[in-house]
Amino acid sequence: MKREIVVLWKFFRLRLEEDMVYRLNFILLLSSFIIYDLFGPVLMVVVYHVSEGFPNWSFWEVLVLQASAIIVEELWFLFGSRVLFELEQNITSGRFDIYLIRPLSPLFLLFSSSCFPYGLFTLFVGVFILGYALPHLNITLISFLFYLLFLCSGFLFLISLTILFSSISVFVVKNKPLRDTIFTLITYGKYPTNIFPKLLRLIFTFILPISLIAYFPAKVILGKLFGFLTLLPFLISLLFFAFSLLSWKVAIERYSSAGG
Amino acid sequence: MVAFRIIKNLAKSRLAYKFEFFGNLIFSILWILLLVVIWQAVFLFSNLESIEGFTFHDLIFYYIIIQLIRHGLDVDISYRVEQLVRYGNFVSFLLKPISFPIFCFLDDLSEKLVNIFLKILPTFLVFVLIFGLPPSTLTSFLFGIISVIFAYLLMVLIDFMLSTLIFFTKSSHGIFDVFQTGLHLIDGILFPLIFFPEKVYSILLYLPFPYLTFFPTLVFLNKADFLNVLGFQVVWILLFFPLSFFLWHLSLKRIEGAGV
Repeated sequence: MKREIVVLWKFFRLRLEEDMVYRLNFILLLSSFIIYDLFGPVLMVVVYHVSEGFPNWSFWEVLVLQASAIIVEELWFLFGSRVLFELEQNITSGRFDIYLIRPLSPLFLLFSSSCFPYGLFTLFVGVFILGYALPHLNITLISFLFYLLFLCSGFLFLISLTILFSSISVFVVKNKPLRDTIFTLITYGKYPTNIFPKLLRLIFTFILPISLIAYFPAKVILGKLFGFLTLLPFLISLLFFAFSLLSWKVAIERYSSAGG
Repeated sequence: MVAFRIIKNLAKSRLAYKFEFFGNLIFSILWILLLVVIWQAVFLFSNLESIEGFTFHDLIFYYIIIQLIRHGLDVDISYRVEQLVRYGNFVSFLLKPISFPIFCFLDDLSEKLVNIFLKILPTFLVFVLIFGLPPSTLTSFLFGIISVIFAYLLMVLIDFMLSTLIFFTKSSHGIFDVFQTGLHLIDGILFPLIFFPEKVYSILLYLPFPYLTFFPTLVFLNKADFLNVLGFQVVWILLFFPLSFFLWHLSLKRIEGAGV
């Protein structure tokens, strides 16, 4: 485990140094990511400015939802967002074989070498919005601790989705539609699941559980999730993770490298 | 005649990327559907007939038309210039018997013509089949088309001015990204700008950005005075036309390359 942490840290530093070569460009790109993060909160401000908003969600509660989505998305931005792109590049150039002969898990190497340092900075957009909204709500320490656990479960779901799509990518190689699909699912996950039609609500909770990204974490911290229901989303994310690892195992076993 | 041949040949090469365009369009449709779900929940929960003159049906067509215009106006001259400069192919373009800014314009125009006739119009017809006719009249539809043409010219000038920055900075990718992301916050893609608080909206009216997508969409929907919008677009074009050529000539002096 210690070796993995050292490798991850070295890759992080390397990527950061690469991006910092052009300082102004780094700051401008970071600004563009921050502006992008503000799309959802700005839309919510406008929605609550012109109407009463969403059923069962006050303005401050919906800000917590948005902040949760940004935190989970940015954690994934840091550790998983470039994985599919890197995988495509490595498979097409034949460099992916190197990952398979190194003395570390290919999946871990893929994730650590693809880390995207911008996520570490943009994470604070979510933290800032959360800090701004929480004083307006009644939050207990227990619900906050559960909230942190649920944020981890949302992050685990996105990582699982990335692994699952990486497995598909091993076969299809060109994966831009898969990358776009993840971004679309994240965007859908930024809004309350209860506003969607019933069928989509079921899909977003049990089949493609994008509710884990922000809806369930926000419900937990707001004290709107009780009893067994509190554990259910967490179990779903673990199941999804196990399934994604299995799919990766199958994909790697069938990987035939460039030239067959 | 030369311009026609250039457009024809470039349009043929553009057809090679139709699948990527359709991929982008599918994700745009998913984005529109998400916004439809959001606003449907808002209208139902707040029991509203209309918001700032927009009924729910108006809003659906607002998002459809603005997304299609956005795809139509997706000018990427700046990106292409950056690639030419970065990989050292720019100087060879200066030797060609056609002005580089005019070539950039024709190149982009060829792409737009392919997009409009083979992709945007068919997609619009599909939306009409699903959601019914837009709340437009034949006149407002024709005025909308004229307004979009002027919006396109304005966008070309803005993007061309942006592209000249590549000659003043070492890496300008960040500038383009900040501009594009920031633009989406104030060009009406997220929501009709009139939903902003009055003070913000009145400031935006004095900027060129609402005249790129927001007002042309309103002209289509018969919700804005065509001549007024056209007047502002012409003023901005007359302002930016000499400015872009001034910046272009300024940047030509900074070109460095083998034998230059």
